Parts: sequence; structure tokens; C-alpha cells
Amino acid sequence: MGEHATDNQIIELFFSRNNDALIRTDEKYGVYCRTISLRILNDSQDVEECINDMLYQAWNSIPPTRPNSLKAYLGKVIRNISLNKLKHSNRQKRAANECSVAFEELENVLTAAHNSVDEHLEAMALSKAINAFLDNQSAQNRKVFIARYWYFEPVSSIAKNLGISDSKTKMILLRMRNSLKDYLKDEGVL
Amino acid sequence: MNTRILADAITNIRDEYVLEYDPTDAVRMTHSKKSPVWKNRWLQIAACFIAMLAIAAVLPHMLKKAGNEFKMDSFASYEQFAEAFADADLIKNLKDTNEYELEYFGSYESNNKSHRDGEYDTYFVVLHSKDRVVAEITIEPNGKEETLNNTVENHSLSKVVSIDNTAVNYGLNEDEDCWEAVFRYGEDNYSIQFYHNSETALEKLLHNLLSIK
Repeated sequence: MGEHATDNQIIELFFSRNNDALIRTDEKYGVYCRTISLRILNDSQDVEECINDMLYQAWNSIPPTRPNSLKAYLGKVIRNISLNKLKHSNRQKRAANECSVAFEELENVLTAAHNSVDEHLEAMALSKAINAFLDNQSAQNRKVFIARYWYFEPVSSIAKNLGISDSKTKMILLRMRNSLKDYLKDEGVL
Repeated sequence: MNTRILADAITNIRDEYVLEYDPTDAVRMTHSKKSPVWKNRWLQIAACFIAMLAIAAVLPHMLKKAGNEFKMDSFASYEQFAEAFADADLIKNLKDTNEYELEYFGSYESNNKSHRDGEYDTYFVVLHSKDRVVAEITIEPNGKEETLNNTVENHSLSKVVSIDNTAVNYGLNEDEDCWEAVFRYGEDNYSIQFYHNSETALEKLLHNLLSIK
């Protein structure tokens, strides 16, 4: 196996219950997953715990799951685990990190007019609507949105990464939040 | 909305969109950067010496002209800048057709303060019709010079005009498909994006804006 195994090779290792699956996963996607977790938790010790939990969860869910994209799958798992840890460790009170600031921005836009009994269904409906909204956005706008609200990147870092100015990034985010609000109202999600 | 619902909804954004951006690209870019030339101590000393000579040569002229030139400070006021933009001949003409309207707004890093709570960290003036933006001006009070330089480099805004002692970099921004000009007044960054007409129209607008006494 080369420097980095392919996703299929790693998935096959999971399927054959070979411990190398965990090593290869960490080698290939460790930096990516740690970056996501660190943005949320801002504590390297907590991040390492989350990485272990993520590998454990991947081990237990593959098989039967066969992710289309291992990277996206692991990204979603580490994001969920890190957000749960953030919630339980009550870290929000101690530090206003990028994650809480980003949620604050979105919450100002997505003020719900109703409370659904089933939170899961509500999240699914919202997710579907956000996906549909993103379908109609330019690639650059989508990247800015994902960078800010999925990866919790600071504005300055997004701007640098995408080669645009800080103010342009803020402008795109502001416009997208406003359009998203209108879109969700039109779709009856809000 | 419950933060958990929001978090779950965002987590489930389509894989292809999540993969369009990779935060580790930025990390790699930062770590792989070579130490810039200007970090060399002797070059720093030489640069300081040249800068002192340049300041000594230019300062008397700047002080002499400061009295009757357009006051850069006045742009630090959001409303005044918006007025200057709205009064520029070209914008006025477009506005008078009633097809376009001006919109002013400001933004914080986190969008949680109302308009009148205080200073914004970025101001926007946008001229738009019903379905498209025609021109857009962004002001960053106390903006980083590096931000402005990055914009110049990233969009190859290589043309330079000097208007009222202000060096304005401009050119075609191919990513945004617009004519863009960036400049610095005092410690503030200004960016103008013009989606209407041509290079000539942008130059005219710049002259209009920067020649206001």
C-alpha cells in the first residue's frame, strides 16, 4: 500500500475487520478531522478523544455502511461528536469560539416561528431546504457558506483560502444569510 | 431555532458541497510558505533607510497639499461616504432612471448587533436593480493593508492611477466578472466593484468619487 491508501482500500480493510483500517484512516484523514474538531472545541486533548471516538464509531458502522465518500463520512462523524462534546462540556460559557459565533450568525436568521414535536424531522426538512438553496448558489458562494457554517472557519481564513478580501467574504455571508431566510420563508420551513 | 436542530441540519448538507471546501488546504498553504525575503535583517535595515529618505522627500508636499485636498477622514463616516457615492454623477444618472436603488448596510464579524449600536467593522454601499448588483463599495475602517494587497495580487489589479495623491489599483476581476478598484485612505481600505459598462465607466466613477472636495 502506498503513502496513502485509497478510500476503497481503507473501506475493504474495515470490511475485513483489519486493524490497519484505523491506522490508514488516521494517516489519510487525521489532519482533516482534527482541523474540524479543533475549530469546534479549541482544545487538543478533547480533539484527540473525539478522534478516538470517531475511529470507534467508524469501526462499528463500517460494515454495514459503505460510505460513498469516506472523507465526507468521517467529517460528518467528527463534526457530530465534537458538537456533542462541546454541548456536554459546557465550553460555550468559557470561550466564544468560531463555532458559537457562526451559530449565532445563523440563529439570528433562522428564528423559528414554530416548534416541531420531532426535532429530527425538523432538522431533516431544514437540511433538505438548505441543500436546495445551495443548489442555486455559485460555487464560490457555496464554498464560503460551507467554510463558515460547516467548518467554522474564521472569515479572515476563508478569505485567504479563497483569494478574496475579508470584506467580500463578509458581504457574501451577509447576502447568503438574507437570501436563505427569504428562501426558507417561501418554502414554509420557517 | 434550537441550536441542535440547526447543527444537525448543517451537518447533513450534501457530501459534494462539503467536499468543495477543504480547511486543511489553508493550513498546508500557511505551513509551506517560505520565509519571505523581507525577513532578512539587512534588507529590513535597507528598506527602513529608503523609507525614511522617501518620507523626508514627500512629506513637505503632502503637508502643503493637505489643506485643500479631499479629506480622507471624511470617508471614515459611513453615511458621508454613502452620500459621496450616491452623488457621483454616474451613479446619480443611473439612480435617476428609477430602475436602480441604493442600499447601505454594515456588518460585524458576528452579525448580532443592530445598525445603530455603534461602529461596524465593514460598510457596504450597493447600487442594484431588481435582479442584479450594478456597483458595490466596501469600506473597512482600520483595514489591514495586507488584505488590500492580497486583493490586488489575487485579481491581477495591476493598473494604477493616481487621483488626488491616492494610488488606486484597478483591473478586471475575472472571478467576479467585474471591474474592480482598491485603494487605501489613511488606515481604511476601500474597494469598488463595478458590474456595469466598462473600464472607462469605472475610471470616471473613481474620478468622481475621489475628486469631491
